Amino acid sequence: MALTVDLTNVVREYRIGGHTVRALNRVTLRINGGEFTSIVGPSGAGKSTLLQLLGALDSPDSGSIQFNGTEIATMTDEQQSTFRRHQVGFVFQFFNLLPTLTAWENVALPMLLDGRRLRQVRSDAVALLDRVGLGDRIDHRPAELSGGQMQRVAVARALMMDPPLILADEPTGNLDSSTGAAIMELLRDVSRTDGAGRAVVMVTHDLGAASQTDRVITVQDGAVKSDLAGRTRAVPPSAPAPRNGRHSAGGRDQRTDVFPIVHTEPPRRRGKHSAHRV
Amino acid sequence: MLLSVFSRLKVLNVRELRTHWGRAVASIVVVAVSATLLVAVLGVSGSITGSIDRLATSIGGDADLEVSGITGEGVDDTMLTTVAGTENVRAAVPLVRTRITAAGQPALLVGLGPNASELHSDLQTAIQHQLEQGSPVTSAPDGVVVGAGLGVSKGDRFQVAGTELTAVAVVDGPAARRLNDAHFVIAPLALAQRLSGRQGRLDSILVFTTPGADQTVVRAAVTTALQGRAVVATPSFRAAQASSSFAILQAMTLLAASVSLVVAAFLSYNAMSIAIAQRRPVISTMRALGGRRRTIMSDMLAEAALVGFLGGLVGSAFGILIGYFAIGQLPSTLVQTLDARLEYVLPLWVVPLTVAACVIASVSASALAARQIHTVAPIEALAPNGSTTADPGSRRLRIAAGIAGAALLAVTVGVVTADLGQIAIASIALSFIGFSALCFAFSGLIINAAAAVARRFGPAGVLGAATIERAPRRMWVAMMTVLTAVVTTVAVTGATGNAVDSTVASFASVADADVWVSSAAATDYSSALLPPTTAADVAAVPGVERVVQDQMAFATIGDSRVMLLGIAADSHRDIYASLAPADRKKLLAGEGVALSRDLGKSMNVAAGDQITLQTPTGPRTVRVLALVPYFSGMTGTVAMSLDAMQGWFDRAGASDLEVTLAPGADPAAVTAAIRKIVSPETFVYSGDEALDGVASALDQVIAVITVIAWIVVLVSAVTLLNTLMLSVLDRRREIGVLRAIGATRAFTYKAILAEAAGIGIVGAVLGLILGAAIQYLTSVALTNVLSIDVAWEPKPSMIAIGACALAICLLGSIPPAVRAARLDIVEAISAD
Repeated sequence: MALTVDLTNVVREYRIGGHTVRALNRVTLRINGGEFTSIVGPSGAGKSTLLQLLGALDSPDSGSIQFNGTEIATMTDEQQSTFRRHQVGFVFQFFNLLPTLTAWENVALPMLLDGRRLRQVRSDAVALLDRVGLGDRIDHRPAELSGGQMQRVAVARALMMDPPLILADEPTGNLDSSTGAAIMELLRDVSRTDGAGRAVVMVTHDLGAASQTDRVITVQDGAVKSDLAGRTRAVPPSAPAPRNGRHSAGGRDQRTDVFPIVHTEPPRRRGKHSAHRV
Repeated sequence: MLLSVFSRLKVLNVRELRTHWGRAVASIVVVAVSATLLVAVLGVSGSITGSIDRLATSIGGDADLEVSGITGEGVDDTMLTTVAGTENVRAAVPLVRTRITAAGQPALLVGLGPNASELHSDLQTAIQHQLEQGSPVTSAPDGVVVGAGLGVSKGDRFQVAGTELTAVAVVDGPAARRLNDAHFVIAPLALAQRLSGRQGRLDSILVFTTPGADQTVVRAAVTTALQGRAVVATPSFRAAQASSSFAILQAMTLLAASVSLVVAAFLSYNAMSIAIAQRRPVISTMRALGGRRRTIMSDMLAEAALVGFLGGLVGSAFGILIGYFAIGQLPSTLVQTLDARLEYVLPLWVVPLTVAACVIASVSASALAARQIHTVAPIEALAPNGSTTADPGSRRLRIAAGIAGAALLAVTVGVVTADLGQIAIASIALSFIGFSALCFAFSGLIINAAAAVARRFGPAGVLGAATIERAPRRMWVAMMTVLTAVVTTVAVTGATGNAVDSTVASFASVADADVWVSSAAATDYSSALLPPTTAADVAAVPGVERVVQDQMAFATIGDSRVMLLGIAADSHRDIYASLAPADRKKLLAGEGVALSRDLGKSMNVAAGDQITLQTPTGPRTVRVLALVPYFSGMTGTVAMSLDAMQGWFDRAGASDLEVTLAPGADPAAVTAAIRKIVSPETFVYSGDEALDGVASALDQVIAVITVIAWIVVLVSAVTLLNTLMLSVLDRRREIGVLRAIGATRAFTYKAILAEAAGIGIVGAVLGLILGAAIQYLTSVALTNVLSIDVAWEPKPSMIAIGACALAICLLGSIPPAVRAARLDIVEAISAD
């Protein structure tokens, strides 16, 4: 069954220096499995807040977030931890690899946190590293890897628990353009292979990178300003239209390179980690 | 499940410790110091009681009871028949056991009667061959069996107390080694009595009861049969008595070791606090990836437990070594009363208890710090890495700490002023914890003060102040370690100095005698009697105007080993000098006794009450004339007239002579003349030397405690070094930015030193104030324990001592300051 994440009237406020700032103002949208979605907008727009709520890193002050029909907005800290561990994979701007762990150990970290023994999951971790093109770096520590390599390790780690949702926060923000492009390709590949259902949501300032995605959501002043299809793929006809969301059918947004939605069937996921080298 | 936990700990926590091994080693070393002190102190006390117990068991085996003398003079050998004839006594084995010098070495002389085969002990096993032949020793007159430890060969002749003996047999083996480490001479009873000058007397009678007999009933029956003229107790009684004589030193050294453990706990708190601050990005990442808070927290506590465990183990090993060597260096006043060769005996529970204490201290302190994990939000994983600020702790927690601290102080003051004996010393540790809690309650003010002090050091100080204000909790812990160092040195050196001064002052009257002639050195107890003609011989020396005899002995009163003092008129003994004139008259007339204050308290008697003293000549009921402040180092002192002591305790003669010179006599000449006519084993010294001897004996004991106090200072210096070093590492990028925009190396260096100075000076000032307060409380506690009035006298030298402690701690700030100054700018800026 394809993933759906429904946000309904989500509000998130922060108190800063005696003032209340509304980071998200009654946001309503749907994230679909099989889509590579980017969230763009100026600094302070609420992009990261939206990402944090999608990944249950934080809880909204009001509103509902339904993950495949399960409400995550009111989860306890313990429940959120379990949810993140099994349902979400994170890719961070600053890689966030543990410096004392080797590449394969970093990939296996979610399993370790889930109570598995490291040795038991080594082969899976190594297979994932192989998939992202780092099969010859499994025993290297982060200090021995380049930025691009570290980010690929981070992507492999995000896939370790085979989560239906991957959240990437400025994944190319710390990389040069060619390395960044490679990471984008990898993320796109992640969203397309392994069958239908996995969603990749990326926060980025890079409009060029955003235009490579299936869908671009623009956030401004805590609200969704636009929700357009991206350059590449389309929303499959079987997926219901998001409530109050928009997919422009035709037309072109001058700010991004967006194209009309073309309805096609998404490829099916085959197995846990289909081999694909980037 | 357990395997997966180990897997996670090994990868995430142990590897972290190995990567930052310097910090881990510093933490382990500090914990190890505490463990070393604890094991050393407990090892020494265990060796004292263990050696005595082991000797008692080696000689008496499974003896049910032991009849021994009330004083060290033993019992009349006619009591043997009485004991053997008591109902339910199966066998009564007479013994002489005393310390001698044989073949130039200290040894144990054991005299055995014909029924020695009743003993089922190492002694019996060692001489089994001889016993099978019908006698402990056969073949030669003056023949003895010697232990292999003396290095004497079979057939050798050697001297004991002027008598030539023949070693007819040399025994070795495990049983012999357990008996005073094979340093013994076994002789027939009569020979042993002759060698020890105990003709007609026995040191003890070992009693074996009939199977099924009630030992309590038999003990009472034997006591009644002997009319209270001897001590009837279990063989372990000797060890218990020895333990009580060591109790004061043990209490004070344990207190110092406990303070060291508190410092280790501070370091554990600090180390955990810094570890969480440093690993914040890692922790937030793990939280973002779905790691549970309680899992992360429990893993951190497991890490703290590991540090505590390793520190406890390493420290225990060193503690065993130090204890092993320390038993040979114990003050003579301590070992003098023991009749066993001191061997190192470590009770089995010492190391596990020490390791457990270290683990508990490390984990408890770390748990307080680990609560900060709750403040690490998973969303931080999305934030750029950098230094963080920390809050000073919840207001509620500080209020609770303030209340708890005040309560602990109130309890301490109550215990100390209630005169509850040695518990008062233990309560001093409570006062320390109470003051620490109060400092936490006022941590905001204290940190502000530290920052204000740092700002006084110019622009570099402004940076140092900002660092202090940004990490208040960490800086508070560092300041507390400096405070602890200053408090410990000021309170310990101050209080012990006050105790020594007060004790010496209480003995001042002994300096009024021109010359002392004694059976022991001025630093030791003179419990042995002088040769009978000594008093007359000394009185006949030209220039001697008057000779006053007195006597000192150890005796058992109830369950306690006390000192007896037999006083004559015109004595300069301090306990006599402090009596009112009317009481002195009564004492000399034999109308009563004076008790030291501590003995009066333990016996629950007051002036005017009647007490019954067990004596070799029967029970004596006497009136307590007064309770007098008097420190003896035992559990108490009983002063009586010399006549009473000689008569009641069957001890003719004197152990000391107080000599007054005739006007105009040359002290040096008379002293020399006296030395010529007394026996070689007799000591002659001036009144001033006698007083110096008292101070010297105390100094030996105090020295141990003072050394421990300065060790605590070193531990605090290590803690400060650790804190500042980690603070520098935590702020690498910030320091790099400062250097990039023009700060010089010298400026950076000064900023760290200013930070340390702010913490150190405030910590030292508070330490001086609290140190003086704890010194006062300790002086009051020592008054209760030492049985003299310890006058609280804060001295100007305390400021110098506190400044020294501060200086040592600040030395710990130099390495981190140097490190900060030498940071590579480019590396530092790119640090995360």
